[in-house]
Amino acid sequence: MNPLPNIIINPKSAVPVYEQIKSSIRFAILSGKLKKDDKLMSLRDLSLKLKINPNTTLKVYYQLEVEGYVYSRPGSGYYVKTSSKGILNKRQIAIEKLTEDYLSKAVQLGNSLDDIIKVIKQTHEEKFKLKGGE
Amino acid sequence: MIEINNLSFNYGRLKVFDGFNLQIPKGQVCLITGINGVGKSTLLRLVARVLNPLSGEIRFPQITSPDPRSKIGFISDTLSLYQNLKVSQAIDFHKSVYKIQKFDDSLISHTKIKKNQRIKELSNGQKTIFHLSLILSAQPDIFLIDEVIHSIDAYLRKVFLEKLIDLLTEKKLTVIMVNLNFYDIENMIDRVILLKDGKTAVDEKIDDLKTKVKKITSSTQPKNIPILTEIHYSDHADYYVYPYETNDNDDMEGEIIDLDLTEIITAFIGGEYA
Amino acid sequence: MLNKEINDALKRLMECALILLGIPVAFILDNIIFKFGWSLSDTMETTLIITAFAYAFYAGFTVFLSEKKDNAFEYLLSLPLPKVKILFLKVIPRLIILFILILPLILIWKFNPFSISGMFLIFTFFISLFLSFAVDSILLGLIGVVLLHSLISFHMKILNFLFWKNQVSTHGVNPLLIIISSFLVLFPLGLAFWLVIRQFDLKPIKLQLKPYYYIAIPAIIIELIFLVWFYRPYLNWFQNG
Repeated sequence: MNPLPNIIINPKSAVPVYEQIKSSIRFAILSGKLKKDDKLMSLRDLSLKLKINPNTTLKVYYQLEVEGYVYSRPGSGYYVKTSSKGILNKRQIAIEKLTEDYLSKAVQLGNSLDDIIKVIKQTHEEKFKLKGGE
Repeated sequence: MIEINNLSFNYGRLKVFDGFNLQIPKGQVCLITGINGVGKSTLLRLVARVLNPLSGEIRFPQITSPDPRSKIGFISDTLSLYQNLKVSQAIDFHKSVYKIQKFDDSLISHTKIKKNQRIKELSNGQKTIFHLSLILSAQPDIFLIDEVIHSIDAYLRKVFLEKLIDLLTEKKLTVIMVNLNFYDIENMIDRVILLKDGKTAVDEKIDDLKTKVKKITSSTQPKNIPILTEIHYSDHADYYVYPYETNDNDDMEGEIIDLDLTEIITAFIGGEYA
Repeated sequence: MLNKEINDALKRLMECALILLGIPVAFILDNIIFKFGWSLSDTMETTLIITAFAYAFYAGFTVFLSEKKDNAFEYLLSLPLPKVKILFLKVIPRLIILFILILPLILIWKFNPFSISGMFLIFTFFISLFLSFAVDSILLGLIGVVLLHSLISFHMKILNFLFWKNQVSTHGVNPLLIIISSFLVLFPLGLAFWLVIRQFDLKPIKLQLKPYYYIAIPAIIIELIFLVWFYRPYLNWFQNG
């Protein structure tokens, strides 16, 4: 079976659907869920699964290819390209992107940076440290 | 590709379009919306050639057959079929007119439609699904869907949606839909067109639209942004605004909220009535 | 498409064929009550002729019945079929069935399809076909067919008087006379019908009848005026008398 990242599309988000899917797949690659040379779902399958326009799926795969995350084999499909060497760097990019999204939202709500950092620490303490078991 | 140039159309003295222009590239899925009576269905019928324009033209540069209707699949909201024919006869009729060998039963195989039933004995939803099957059997390049999909149930809608995804994957099908106000088709749409007074009042790619239409929840009316429609509560109001620019929020009071397509269209149509 | 039209045409025939039931009824009634001395052959001939005329009218008038009744114009117009082809596919089966219907009349009773009554049978079909768009009610259609037939007859009488000095009796009809007289009525009507069909779309039918208003109706009115003018002496006589 195809390793499939759990992709959730938020219909209310102003982030374009293709961006949402792209970042889900990017995360799956960076977190190691999708490994080098894993085959991505076909255009049809992913479109059917997410109930999206195949043009959107094509855009996602095309941009991931341009960004160097995947490569295509003509007539066969798309495969994960990233080698483990590149991961750290890209993981960094991903976390920066995620932080940027989060921060812009949080600032929009009127929070100061200090408040935000406090909340992050607090949340990490409450929700993640316990699970991690120290 | 559909090219509408300088199109005019009247119903008697009632002017519907006067010099209307629109281009829809091949492979695009386009949603046409607007208030009732604005001419959405009329536009679809003009493209389908069941109505003749008063002047102007509608061209299909990529369709080479002498009669473009052979490559256009059109389903209207009137459930127009020969009601007295049996299902099997209606299939033969359609096959002979379009000179096709095979009827595509992938949709009606999910239903309880029997081949020896008369069309008039089918429910509205069944008629719609059956008509869609006829249309898809002729393998159209252009697919025009009026407000009919409401009449089919949630499961068949899903089946239809999957069929549409298949078709869009296989070939560059150009689709125009009118006012399909259910969320499951939302991610199929590339472009939204709002008709107003015989013109396109809004014409945006879906991704742009989502960044440009926002709900602002605030106790004071936002300045310098056109408001489509507003809902007032005891101490604040929701203002639906368009076009919103990202640098607008510098001195904006209140919360700026993203919307889904259904909310966006409702806001636009509400704005038309306001 | 052809299959459906043949079926439709046959259905209309079956409805008209109810008149054929009149044969035994008329025959029995005559034998028991009226005693006109009708033979079975006479009764059959008359019934067949009436049936043929009824079918000619009904088949012409209901050419678009399935579309009107089933609200199927939209479907029909969305199909890649030229209007001429649609018209042919509808008219040809109906004409063929009409011919089959009068075949026994021709073979057994020596009915001449090129006689006046034969021609009138064909006119009936075409007049009712040409009226089918403009006229909704079947009763009005029937009245229209009768009136237009009378108009053709009057044309024949007048032309006969003007150009043949009344020497052509109605028994030995000059074909030219029939052709010109019917042409005067059928042509404006047929032209209007064809112009409507050629441009026909899904707009309300009322908005599409301009060719009838600008061609057929004025032509018929002019012919009627001419008719009244021609018969003026008799009208005066009628008023004075």
